[in-house]
Amino acid sequence: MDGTDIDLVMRAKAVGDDKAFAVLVKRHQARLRAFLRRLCGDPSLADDIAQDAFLKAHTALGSFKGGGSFRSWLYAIAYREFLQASRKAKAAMRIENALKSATAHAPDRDTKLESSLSLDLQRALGALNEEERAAILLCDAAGLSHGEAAVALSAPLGSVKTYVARARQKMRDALAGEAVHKDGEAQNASMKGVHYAV
Amino acid sequence: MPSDNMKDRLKADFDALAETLEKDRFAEKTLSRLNAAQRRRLGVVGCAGAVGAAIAASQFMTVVQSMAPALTPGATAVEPAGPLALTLAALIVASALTATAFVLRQEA
Repeated sequence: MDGTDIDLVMRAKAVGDDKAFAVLVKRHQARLRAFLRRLCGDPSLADDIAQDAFLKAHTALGSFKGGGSFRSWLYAIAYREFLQASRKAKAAMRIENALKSATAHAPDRDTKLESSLSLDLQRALGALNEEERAAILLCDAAGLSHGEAAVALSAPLGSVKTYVARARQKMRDALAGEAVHKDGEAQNASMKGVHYAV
Repeated sequence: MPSDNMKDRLKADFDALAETLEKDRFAEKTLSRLNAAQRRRLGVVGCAGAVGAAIAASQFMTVVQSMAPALTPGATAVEPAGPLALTLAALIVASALTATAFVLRQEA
């Protein structure tokens, strides 16, 4: 079944066409989950949030007015779900642990997926606050416009631009720091090598 | 400089992850959960409707008798219900209302 998101939403709303909604789920699930996985760092929690977001989107489809894109409306629901989940103490603990020690344990299927993100980027992302992380992921990774990201984060456009700029700067600083740290370690290692050789 | 291509790396990682996630059965699982939720909702609505219909049917003769006594000449005067019957009826109505409220809350 082809058609734009808006066509499919209209079809799902007007005649309760579940096939149209199924196409929307298939079309958006992978990138939404990728966003949530990078946002919270916990693959299973991210998938739970994504699933809840789709269920909520289905029941709230009638409230979608079509002023913005379906994608930004869906991401807004998912982001709200994420915020609710992260407020719950247990989930917050899982998110924190996942972000800070993602590589500390033996990798299973999900963590193998997560480890495709290099450690320096992962650390740099983990150092951002929620709004900054969400904003940079939406705009620089998921390819949403600033306007769409503003809808998704339920924040003013100016604030989103600030979040993105601040996040980019923080990440550049963090990555530059990593590079300096690595250079220092490499230098130390080579000096030790020379020392032992002597 | 490693930080210059930060945006490209972030995007490349995101695209690769999304491509991997495209291949699993998440969409199917979500859609089957959605269908289950809809079936459950239909079941609750159906039960609430059935309870309502049963209550309405049980009151039908009383209502007709009070509105048009000529239509029910053979009917005897209705005995007032005892406290047990009234409590039971109140519980049934309350459960039907709760079920309807539950469904409406999900719809909101």
